[in-house]
Amino acid sequence: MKSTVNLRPKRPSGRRAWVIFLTFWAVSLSFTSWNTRQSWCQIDELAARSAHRTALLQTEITDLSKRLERQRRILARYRIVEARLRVPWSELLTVTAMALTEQTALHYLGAQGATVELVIAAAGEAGPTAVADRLSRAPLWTFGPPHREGLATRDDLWAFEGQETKP
Amino acid sequence: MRRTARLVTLTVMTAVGLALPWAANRCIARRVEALRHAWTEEDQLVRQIAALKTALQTAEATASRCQALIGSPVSVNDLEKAIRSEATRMGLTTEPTTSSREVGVTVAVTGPLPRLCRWLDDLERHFPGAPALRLECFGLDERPGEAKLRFTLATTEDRS
Repeated sequence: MKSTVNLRPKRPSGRRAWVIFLTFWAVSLSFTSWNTRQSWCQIDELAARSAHRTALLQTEITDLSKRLERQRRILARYRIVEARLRVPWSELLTVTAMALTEQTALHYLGAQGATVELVIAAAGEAGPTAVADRLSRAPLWTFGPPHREGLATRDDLWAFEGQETKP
Repeated sequence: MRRTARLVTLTVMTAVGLALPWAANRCIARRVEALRHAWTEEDQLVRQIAALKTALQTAEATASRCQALIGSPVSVNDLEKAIRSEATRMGLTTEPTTSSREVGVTVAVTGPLPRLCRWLDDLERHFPGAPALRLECFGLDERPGEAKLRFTLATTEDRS
């Protein structure tokens, strides 16, 4: 009796290769998921910490800005003090009172900051000239020439614009 | 037929196996970028705080030097009392004063111009810490030689 021997090597079954592929696929995806989840949690933690710190910094900035604003307001007042100590307005009022002649009278004096507006009432043109001459001798203030007060209905009003003399 | 089905399944699973890690990586990268941006902002805030602290220290030092030079801040109440009593003593007529948180004290005093000059001089000398922000003087036509002085004094008292 003749017997046959199969000498061809046996091929691995397709099922086995398929199982190996599936295993690798599942392991790979599991590892990726685990890794992603870990990174995600870590980033979440860092982001929360950063947000908390940013909020604290913002609060500190708001507080510091308020304090700085308050100090700036105080300093602005001290700058005015410095200006008034250098050029007191009592001096301006005295200069004006001394500059007025018998034919002239004070109508209005307004001062704010470094500027001053003076309006006098005078019957003729000699009065304003005399006042301008006296005002020109004031050391702390510089006055311009007299001119007719444009807005007034009265024709006896003369205006002078003045400025603090810069040191 | 069976082989083709297997090939398709294999391709799909390979694609999924590659696409999922890629997508996860993209998400993580985007979040890391956002985090880096937040850290940069945080650094800027820290720098801003340092600058603010320096400015505040300078301002406080300047303010305390100014205060040492001109004396203690003047309170609105003290100022109002002083204005009234001094004006009365000098025979001047005062109108009710108005005070506001932002500006200070506004006062109107009527009397002869030389006396008003002296009174204002006294006030400015005694209260350098309460500078006049605005000064207005109106001549009184019905009473020549007399004037009405209206001015606003600021106070250095910190009322904020």
